[in-house]
Amino acid sequence: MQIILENVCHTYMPGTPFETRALIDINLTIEQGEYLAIIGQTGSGKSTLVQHLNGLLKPTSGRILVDGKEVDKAGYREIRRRVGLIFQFPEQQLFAETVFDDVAFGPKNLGLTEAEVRRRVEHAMQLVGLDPKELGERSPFTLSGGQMRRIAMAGVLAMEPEVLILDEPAAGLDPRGKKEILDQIDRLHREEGLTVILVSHSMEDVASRAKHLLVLAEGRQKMYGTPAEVFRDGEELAEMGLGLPQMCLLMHKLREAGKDVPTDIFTVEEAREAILKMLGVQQA
Amino acid sequence: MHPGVSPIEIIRAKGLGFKYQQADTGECWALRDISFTVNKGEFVAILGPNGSGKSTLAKHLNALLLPTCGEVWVNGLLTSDEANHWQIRQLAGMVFQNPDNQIVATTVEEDVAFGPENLGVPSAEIRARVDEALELVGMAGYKKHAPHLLSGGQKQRVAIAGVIAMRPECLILDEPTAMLDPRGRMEVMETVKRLNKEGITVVLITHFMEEAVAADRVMVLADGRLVMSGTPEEVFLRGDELRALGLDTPPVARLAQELRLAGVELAPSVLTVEELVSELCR
Repeated sequence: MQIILENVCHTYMPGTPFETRALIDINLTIEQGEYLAIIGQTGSGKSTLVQHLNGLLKPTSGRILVDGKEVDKAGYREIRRRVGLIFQFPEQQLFAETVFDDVAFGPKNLGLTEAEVRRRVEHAMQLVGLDPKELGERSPFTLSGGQMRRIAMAGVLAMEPEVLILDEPAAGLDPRGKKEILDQIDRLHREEGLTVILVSHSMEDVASRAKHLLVLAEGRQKMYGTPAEVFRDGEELAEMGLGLPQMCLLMHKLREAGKDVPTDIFTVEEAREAILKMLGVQQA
Repeated sequence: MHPGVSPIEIIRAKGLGFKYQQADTGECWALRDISFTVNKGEFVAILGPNGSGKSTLAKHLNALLLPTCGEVWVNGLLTSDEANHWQIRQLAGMVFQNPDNQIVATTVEEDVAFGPENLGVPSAEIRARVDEALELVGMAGYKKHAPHLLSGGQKQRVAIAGVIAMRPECLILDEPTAMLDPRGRMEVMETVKRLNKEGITVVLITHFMEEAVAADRVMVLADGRLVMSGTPEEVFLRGDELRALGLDTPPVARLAQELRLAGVELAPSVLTVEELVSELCR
């Protein structure tokens, strides 16, 4: 599934004193199999943008094309099924008495057979690393925060979307929980072939994972490219109140101090290699 | 004052344990045998994985929860004595994770005035305290603004001002930056550091290892127990132990450790980008 945004603008409450231009002239192509991270401050338009990608909001002007065809009224229903959106703190949306019922809610509403619903629920739970036999009959409210978040993710995956959008999936988790959930998302991208769109304000999380980054500020598209391209310009990001990933910042500072190091470095391992090379340390 | 309390001590926990009932698994000890002290003016960061008991511990420091066993004193006042609660909550103010849940009024200044009003402070004095508190958190220009229209970082600073206006000795912050963007996080951390310089004791619970770097002392909780305590330099040298607990060290500390293993000589205290750059350019 390919999604193209052409000159998309969105204005909240047009013609009133509260009129707000949330998106201004967004042009973006999301190919099948993409791993895109959207970064920007609170209020930069990230959430407004992703709600256009699954048809929750319609552009005030501009067009959205799915697989080359402009989305019409019937198309909006379809796009909501094909594009799954996981909101921030999705565990707050759990409601059913058992984990199974919660994950099954979406597929049941699609009018699928009971056997198909069961298959999808079990598959979705396995995809997020939860055992359907062990946890299916438990109340979701007795589980840990990290598990609850994964159940909410499973609820969206059970709809078998082609595109998965996640708004700050790691917010509020400890380092291990964060790594687990981001690794899980990487796996869904790699093994299930899902197109992934990650909304985040953590540079550390997205730099080493996403294929492309889109930087938004005040509703406008400020930068777009691979992580290496976007993080080349540290100053511009800093002006937007977005820092560089720490390892990338370190390389920029070493360069400023006259050292010959690359700046497209995002992980501790890459930084270690680069610095040892800079120091001329022989490695075993 | 409790006999034997040193005059510079503000918080003391001794053998603190806390047990609660869980619906399906029965009894659960959220805190076990925790003992520590916090001195006046100190900045202590508390780290721990999700479910390690950090928030439960924080709620014991201003008598929102009472120990199942052991004792907690705040400025020499025993928390388990209900007669002390009013005074303890004024001495140790708490700021929570979600700024939206902490706002009660329709303008910033009314919101900050809520606490001192409830303390029965005379109105001229409230005016002075509100102005001073908003000044301290850098929000003096927003007195008449509606709090719900502020950014996350601004809201959280208003919440901090609301606590400051009660003239506490100690500020307890439970993951105050978890829901904020990078700019909001920076604003809140700068405010916390400034207040600590003004002499307010700070206890900061956080998941962000780089925020703990700014503290005088780091305490690590795991499974309800206090498992490490030391300066950030000491604690972040124990990277393997931290990772085994589901935590981590700041990326710079991890890199410094990797470089040491590869034979690069570095000072033991390298925790920030600036420190590492200056070490490497020596």
